[in-house]
Amino acid sequence: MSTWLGMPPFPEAAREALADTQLRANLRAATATIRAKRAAVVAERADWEQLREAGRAIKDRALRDLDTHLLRLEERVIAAGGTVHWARDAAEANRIVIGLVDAAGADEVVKVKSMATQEIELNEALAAAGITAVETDLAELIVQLGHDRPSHILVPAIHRNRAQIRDLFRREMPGADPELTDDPVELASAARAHLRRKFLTARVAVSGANFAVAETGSLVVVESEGNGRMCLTLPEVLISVVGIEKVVPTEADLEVLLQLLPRSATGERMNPYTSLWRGTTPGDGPREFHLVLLDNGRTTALADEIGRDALRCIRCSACLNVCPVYERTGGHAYGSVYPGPIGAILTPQLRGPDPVADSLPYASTLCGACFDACPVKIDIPRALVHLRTKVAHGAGERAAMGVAAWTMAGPRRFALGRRLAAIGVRLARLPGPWRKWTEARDLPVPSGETFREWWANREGPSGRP
Amino acid sequence: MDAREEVLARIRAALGPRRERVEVPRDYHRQPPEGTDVVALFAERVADYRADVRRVTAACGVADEVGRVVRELGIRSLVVPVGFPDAYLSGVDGDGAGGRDHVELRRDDPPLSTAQLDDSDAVITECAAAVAETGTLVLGRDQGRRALTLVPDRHICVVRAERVVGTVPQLPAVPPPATWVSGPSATSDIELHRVEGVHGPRTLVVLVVGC
Ligand code: SF4
Repeated sequence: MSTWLGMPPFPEAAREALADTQLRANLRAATATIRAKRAAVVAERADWEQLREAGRAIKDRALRDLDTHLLRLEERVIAAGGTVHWARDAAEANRIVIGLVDAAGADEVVKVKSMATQEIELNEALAAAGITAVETDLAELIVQLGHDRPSHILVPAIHRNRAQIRDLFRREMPGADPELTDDPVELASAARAHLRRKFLTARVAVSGANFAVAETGSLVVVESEGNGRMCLTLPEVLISVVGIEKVVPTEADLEVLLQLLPRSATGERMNPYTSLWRGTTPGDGPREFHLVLLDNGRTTALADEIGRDALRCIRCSACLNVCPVYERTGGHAYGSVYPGPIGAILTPQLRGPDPVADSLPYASTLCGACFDACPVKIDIPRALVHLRTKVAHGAGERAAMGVAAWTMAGPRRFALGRRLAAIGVRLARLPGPWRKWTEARDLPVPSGETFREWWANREGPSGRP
Repeated sequence: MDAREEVLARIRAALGPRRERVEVPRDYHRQPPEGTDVVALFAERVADYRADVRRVTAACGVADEVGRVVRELGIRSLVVPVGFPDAYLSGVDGDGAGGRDHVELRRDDPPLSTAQLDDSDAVITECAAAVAETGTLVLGRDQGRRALTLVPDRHICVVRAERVVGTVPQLPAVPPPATWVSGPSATSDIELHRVEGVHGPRTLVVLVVGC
């Protein structure tokens, strides 16, 4: 997998992505599917708003006392036979993992998809140390075989359609049937056959975790395919790299989060498999368990009273699927493992100032769809506006902010206007660097037309680009 | 300062001395809507995931149904975890003389190797609890090692009606390691369409016992 280093800032990357009509068609189809599924299962829960409010509070409660909960988690994991490591940054986390793999005498690890390990570029670090990382999630496998980068938090290969995946498997998968069709069932079977031997023989697995419960020391991995269960169960050594913001105080918190996550993520009432484990269990699963607690910029975000809201994120990707900007540019344009609206507020905080990160808070129209979709009620528009004041200093950027507010005119104008006014944003109509963004679309926004109107017209039956 | 001390110090500095206390509102629904037949809802929701769901009204019918499933699926080797009720297996020709319908029962005692599991046609277990609203089976330690329900390609799960609760908040505590199973292994990675059957069992048969 290639790294994110050297990616162009958002406007340039977006322009490239928009030129790729296949990419946009794939994305439009996929995000439309997932939006409809999510809407249907969310509508089933009469208490959805109460669940969101509980989810918000659970994560806030954890973050407001993060040190206490982490220490408790550490104590419980150790008591259950696990080992806990702390990592200040990516390099330290990678060193720890490499040391553990070396100690186990392994030169290959099986991996279950994890944002944290992508963030620290663990695969590249392992490769440099002579260790092969085998991604076992179907989408990650597609990305890895294609020497590609993930473009979506949950469905990293969302930018590839079935025909492209078939071609990739035929070309890159050792032993793949040359007659393989593009039937998703056949493609999934091919992946099953390809990875089975790896699972049955792997000695070390690396995972992340969706949640870590301080009260009990339980770790939770939510998945669909069973590759997670394979990694968590069959190898002798399990290493889980977990961001410090994944801790939740109590076991009862899971009853909320495990309802919010699958409905928001894949639009299912429940995902096929959820694994819960605590340290090691004699006779069942790995005999060694290592938990690597990762900071890597999270404490910087925590120090920012508005920016810290991003740490509530449970990586469901609902905000990506409803985002008009994401739908048109895809995930790669964001130049980060965290694309879409959440990426636009998380990346600049985790990574610190650089041209890509600084451009991200502008990669939004502030339409607010992400906030409405977010299961833990992260006010992404508010954080975007706040981060713009932090990353940008020139008059152009301030103008861009004004234009972004202007494009918001329409049904949400009043509410958003109040929100912006409350934080002292001046409204202006001058394009500045915003021009780059409009150029990056295939058609400029005609003056006087709001983004929403423009968007609606683009989606019209005759106006499909 | 070591990494642990430094991360903790950064957190303390970020949070400052005065910490806001956050209460978690728990007014979300704990009960299913009034009048819900939780067992029927469970059966319907599991079937939604394209599991093969069969209702057996009396406990004495379980063994017959298990035997029928084993025959229909052409199962020749069946993994049985420690503690699985023998009575449920009397309809499976497991101790016969190796005739045409002979089914080898592979008990996990002593523990089966991963290769043996990989070479087995199916596994049969109970569940610790089940959730109607989400069609979820919860497997705990009493249902055997986690690998048993993972490596074989078919999983038959016997669910006693009294173990079915309405909602996720109603689930009893099941000590880890535990696995929540909602339908057969699946992926949504190809164009976001759910496809059954990747690495876990591709066939899930759920026998709901009692009403
Ligand atoms: S910000 Fe909210 S909607 Fe977006 S991925 Fe995170 S939890 Fe999901």
